[in-house]
Amino acid sequence: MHQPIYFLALATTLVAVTPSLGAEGPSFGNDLKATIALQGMPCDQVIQAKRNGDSDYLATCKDGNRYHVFVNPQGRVVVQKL
Amino acid sequence: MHGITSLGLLVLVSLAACAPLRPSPPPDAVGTAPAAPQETDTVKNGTPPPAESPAPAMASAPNLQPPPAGQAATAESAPTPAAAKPPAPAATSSPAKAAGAAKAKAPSGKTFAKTSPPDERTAPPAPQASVATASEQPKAEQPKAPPALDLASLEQRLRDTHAIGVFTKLSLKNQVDDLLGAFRAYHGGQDKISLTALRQRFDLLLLKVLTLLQDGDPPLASAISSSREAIWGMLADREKFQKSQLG
Repeated sequence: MHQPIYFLALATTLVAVTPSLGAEGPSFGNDLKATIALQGMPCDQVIQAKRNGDSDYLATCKDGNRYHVFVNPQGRVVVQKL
Repeated sequence: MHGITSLGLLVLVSLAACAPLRPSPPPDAVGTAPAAPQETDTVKNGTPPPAESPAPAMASAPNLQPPPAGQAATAESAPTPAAAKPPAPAATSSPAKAAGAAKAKAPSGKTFAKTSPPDERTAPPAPQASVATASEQPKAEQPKAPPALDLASLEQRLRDTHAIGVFTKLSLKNQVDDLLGAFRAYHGGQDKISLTALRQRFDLLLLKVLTLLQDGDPPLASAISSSREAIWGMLADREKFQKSQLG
């Protein structure tokens, strides 16, 4: 009875983990962190990233800073401290 | 009875324990002994003949002047056991003089006969040496030349690397474009930015790139770091900057 549930849970776990294992590059949190740091703003670690739209994110750092990171119509990455 | 047997066993054990120690010297002695006697023989045979009878050697082998140098080398290298291997090439030269070593004489005579005519014996070695030195000089000069800057390759590698995320790449591209705009303004005389300030911005941007790459893509970071001065030279020079597609 419980075997199908276990298999389903295992399959779900594998599907959820596979993309992160396949990605060789940095995690999205690290990408956002590096982007914020490149703009000269402090962020030790991104603990939450909320997607507002295409290339538009709200990043929350571990130190409590929150940033709006997006790409403006001119194609420039903009980081706004909230 | 038991005492005798135990004593015999002790003797056997001691002999067995000493047995591996005995063979060890022989391998060295065997390895060196055959070579050393040959070397000594060749040296002995080689050194006396030149002094004793250079004329017969000259008569027997057309190329005998080069061997004297080889003999001197063999005589110098013979005393040291480490030079046991080198004697082989030296032996080729010395046996030609020595009448005792028939094996070494034949190859040496063949090589000398092939390489140099019988009359002109000293001439061939000199050209070979000059050719060797000429081939070594370019090799020594090549490393001194600065590495060629392949900007397109570096750019493509930066685009393809997985060490930097998409947002970060786009942000870096923005900053590179800003810096290129500053260089255009500098070379166009539109802005009063000093070259020192541009250099600081260039160094800072390169530092950012290297920081992002050094963990995820060390080869690319090394390539960019080694191309730093070449890139700067292209950016700072007006003609090079305008000739490139950056301007």
